Amino acid sequence: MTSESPVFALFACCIPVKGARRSVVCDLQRQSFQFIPNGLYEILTEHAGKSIAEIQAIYDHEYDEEIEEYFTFLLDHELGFWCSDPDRFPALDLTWETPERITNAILDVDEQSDHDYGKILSELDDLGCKALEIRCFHRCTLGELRAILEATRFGRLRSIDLLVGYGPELDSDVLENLFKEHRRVSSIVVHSAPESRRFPPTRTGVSLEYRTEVVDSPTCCGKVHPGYFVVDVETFAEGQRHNTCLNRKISVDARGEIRNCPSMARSFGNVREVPLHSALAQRDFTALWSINKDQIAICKDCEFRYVCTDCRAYLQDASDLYSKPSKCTYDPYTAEWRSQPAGISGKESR
Amino acid sequence: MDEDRKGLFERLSPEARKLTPVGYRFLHASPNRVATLLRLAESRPYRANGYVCLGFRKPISKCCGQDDV
Repeated sequence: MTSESPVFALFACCIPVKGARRSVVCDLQRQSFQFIPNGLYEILTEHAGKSIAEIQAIYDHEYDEEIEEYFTFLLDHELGFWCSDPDRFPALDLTWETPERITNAILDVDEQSDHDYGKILSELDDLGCKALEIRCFHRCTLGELRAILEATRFGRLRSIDLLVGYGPELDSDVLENLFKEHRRVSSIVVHSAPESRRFPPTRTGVSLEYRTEVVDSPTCCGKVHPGYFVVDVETFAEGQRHNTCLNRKISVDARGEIRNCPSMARSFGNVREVPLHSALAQRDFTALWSINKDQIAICKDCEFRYVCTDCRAYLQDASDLYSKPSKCTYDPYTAEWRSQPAGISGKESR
Repeated sequence: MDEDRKGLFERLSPEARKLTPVGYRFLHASPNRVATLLRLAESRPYRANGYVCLGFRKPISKCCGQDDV
């Protein structure tokens, strides 16, 4: 069907999401978002497929100038285009599927850890895991790092993120050599460093960063801020029906306990005695995977809900699995971030 | 439009020149056409990285604040 006057169509990868006070258009191809007023959201959704004259008439010509400005904004930011046959540009199918039983995993290490890295890595391989984050809470030696990475050498992992405690031997040259030896390392963050430094990503996209922040236990996790937003098709689609943190995740904490994430209270057995696939097969292991943002109090009114990577471990109300992450300081009803990070004093579910 | 295209290659940075040719499919009649082309050329390494590597882009854990650096 074609209409006589051109109508505005958003690019399929530019998807509007309504919040309580304002909305965003998520540009999943450019991996960015643009804030828009809720009035424009209404135009883009309820009045989609109508010409500008029809839309101006719907609002009794009271906002003609603003409506024109809205469309100029959308064109300037290349979020859409005028066309006469909008039906030829269908929406993206946001069905999310993946062949891996587990897509990502966390392995915690501290001074007392006694992990059998070979066994754990091989079991993660069996589950199809493609991304691993290794978090060393203590001052890590190069020898330790090498031993851990050696266990990943012939596995199926596609990316390895390292969060390690600062030690004098972990200088940037040494770590860059480690990147070269282990090409699947995609980032290294060195915490508890004497000074903060961030190195530009290498040509292959590997990032190295030193932070003064101390990360000495899983309780440091669960932070929610725009730096952890992910604006891409995969996460946006996954977020429609799944939890963007816990879905297809498995973790082994520093003592070897298998959990959904190391900050969660429930253990599904110790990795020395229980294979990861057996833990995964336990009935409740996947229960949290399907808690999406549309079900979470306050988050369901947030414009960032499909790009935020959530936290189900540290909650505002520890007794309610559907309550807002306690470390999120954003209020969608005022569209403001509180300057003081919250949740540090919030209740924890553990 | 021909005027706008004139000398386009010379206007790219040395790095972007190495990466051409890029797709010209967005060279429509919009006022942003030249800016679009230049941006596409300059951003090619990032786009290529995203589409080719199929890495895992989500943060697996979220331990670091953003006010430290």
